[in-house]
Amino acid sequence: MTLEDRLERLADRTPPGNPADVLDAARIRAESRPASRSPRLLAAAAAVLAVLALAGGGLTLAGDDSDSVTVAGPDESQTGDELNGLWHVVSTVDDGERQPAEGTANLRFDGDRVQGDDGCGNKIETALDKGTIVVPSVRTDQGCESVPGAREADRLWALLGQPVELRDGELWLVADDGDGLVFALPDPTPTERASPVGDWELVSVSADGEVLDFSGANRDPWIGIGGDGTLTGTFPCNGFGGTVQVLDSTLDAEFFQELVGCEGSAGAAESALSRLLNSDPTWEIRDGALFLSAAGIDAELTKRPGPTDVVDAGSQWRPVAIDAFEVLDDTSLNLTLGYCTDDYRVRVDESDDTVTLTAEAAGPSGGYCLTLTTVELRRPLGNRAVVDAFTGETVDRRPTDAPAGAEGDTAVWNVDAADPPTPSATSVTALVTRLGCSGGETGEVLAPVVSADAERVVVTFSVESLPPEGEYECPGNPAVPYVVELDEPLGDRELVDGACLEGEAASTSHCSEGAVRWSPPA
Amino acid sequence: MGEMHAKPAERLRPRGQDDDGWFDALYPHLHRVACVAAPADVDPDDLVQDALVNYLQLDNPDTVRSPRAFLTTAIVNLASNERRSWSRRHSAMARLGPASQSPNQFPSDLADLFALPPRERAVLYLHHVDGLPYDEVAELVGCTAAAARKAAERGRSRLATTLAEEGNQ
Repeated sequence: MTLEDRLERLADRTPPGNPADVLDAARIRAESRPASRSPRLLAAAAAVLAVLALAGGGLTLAGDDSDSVTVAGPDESQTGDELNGLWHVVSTVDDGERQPAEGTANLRFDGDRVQGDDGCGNKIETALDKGTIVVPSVRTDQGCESVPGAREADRLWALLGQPVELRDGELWLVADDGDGLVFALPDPTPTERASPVGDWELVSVSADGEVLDFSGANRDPWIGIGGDGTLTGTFPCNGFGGTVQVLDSTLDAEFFQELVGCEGSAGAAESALSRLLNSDPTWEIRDGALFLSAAGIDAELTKRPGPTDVVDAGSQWRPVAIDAFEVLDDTSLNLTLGYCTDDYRVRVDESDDTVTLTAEAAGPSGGYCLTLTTVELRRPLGNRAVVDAFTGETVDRRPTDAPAGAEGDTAVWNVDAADPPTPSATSVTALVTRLGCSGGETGEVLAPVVSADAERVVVTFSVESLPPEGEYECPGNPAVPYVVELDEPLGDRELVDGACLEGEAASTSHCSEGAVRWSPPA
Repeated sequence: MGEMHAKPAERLRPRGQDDDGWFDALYPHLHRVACVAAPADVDPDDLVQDALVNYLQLDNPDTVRSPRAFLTTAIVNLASNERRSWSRRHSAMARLGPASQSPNQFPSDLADLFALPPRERAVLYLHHVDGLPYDEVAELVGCTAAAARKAAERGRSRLATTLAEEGNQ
């Protein structure tokens, strides 16, 4: 399919609606929330307006109160006084994605005058014209190799000539291809302002004045506000993670939480905290404690004395434990590491009877989370033990998600000698026997899982689970006939008992003669 | 300045456009651009509506020279924002545990298109399917003609591997 065809398909991916309905809905929304545009939409609108206004020779500035967008018409060019001050580079924007800056480039605006330093000692001396920095006629070329931020220096020179934009109190210089730089003014209050960045343990939480008791929680609730905008922590029952933006007096958090059931008073505390974080809470630091409040909910937290800010964020690898593994397919294992990091590596050493895994991580722990990674083996795992080199112990195997229909207890089966299958058959009578002890009852046979390929048809049965209480004797369980319907005739394919391929039945006498239950006549 | 006292319903209608025909005529184009630019898990018409709300909330919609260009640019920018916020959510989820499902339920031949930034998809669509020259594409998505050409080139080169593979078949 050509590119054009695919683009056509994309353009047709949902049928068009009724334009009148779209317009009506938009009108209602436009009239009902005149000043409540989300900052995100506002930023987009500002970008749109910038383009349009510049086309007309004007300047667009999104006010840093985030509530107003001013469009200067062609005749009212602005001087840019809003820009006055010394701006330091704080982020790079690569293809629209924002990254922390490394360098020290800066720009000073004073009316129409623009001076700066690219961070490598090269001075910038130019002017602001209708919201656009004029490309300077002179560029010195101090060597910038080995200076952090050399890339940003080059970027800055390339961006001169672009319009400047104020977004949420930051100055953005972004080229049409989405690459750019973001500058900020130094904090206006030189005295060090307390910051909510850090890990905070919950001291108390109240909703509508009523103090909620979370002492029965199975975890100590805490909130971690990362300097890089990450949000992690645990509510009384569930972990959560996401992003947070620390604004002047509020937090703008976006996060996802686990969904383990949480009952009683801990549950009430959990839902209050979740609601609090979701409601752009105001933050305040008094006597070293962090106070958050929104929507009638107040929380007090104290700084957590933790190793998290002590650990060197450098690339020192340290061994970490492997919590569990599951088998994805014969040769790949999914590992759960008990350490939260984006930076980890796992070494696999295979021998005939053991698979030894060595996991290492770098960087600080980000609090509660799971790291999952997949490793590939050179040959199927089979019965080999999986050992964690760090702990020296075998790693817990987590059951792989069972396919639909396979819930229940393991059962084995054989073909009915009185009614053997034929190559033309589209149904097979299987005699199903519960594997475990049950006091002599196989019980109800559940619908089998059938998977077929060109060479074999694998049928895996299970039977209804028995109540876990009670001891069952093992007189041997009766075989229960079950007719398996096939999608197409058996043909020259083998019939295989899936229970003998993997799982608890595989090592029992039922499978000692292999998993094949029927082979086509030679 | 009598305009300022106009009733909201009147204010929300572009000058000289007494009926909604202006939007009926624009909608098919906007819907298709939104289908192309929106991330897989975002309803294209939501983007059309969001762009329209932004437009209707302008203090002076009348000063917009081309509503078609304004709305197209807005849709592409909103799509880019959605994609960014999706990436943030996605990395947050990745820290929490295994991904329960992929948001991209489209066949693989569209999956590589979805891997491109929304603006590149929109540029490719407007140029290759709608057949617009780059200067018109640029006006619609809010950039210079050179940037539009560059975006298209970059998009094509990212897709090149797939296209070459198909060409060989």
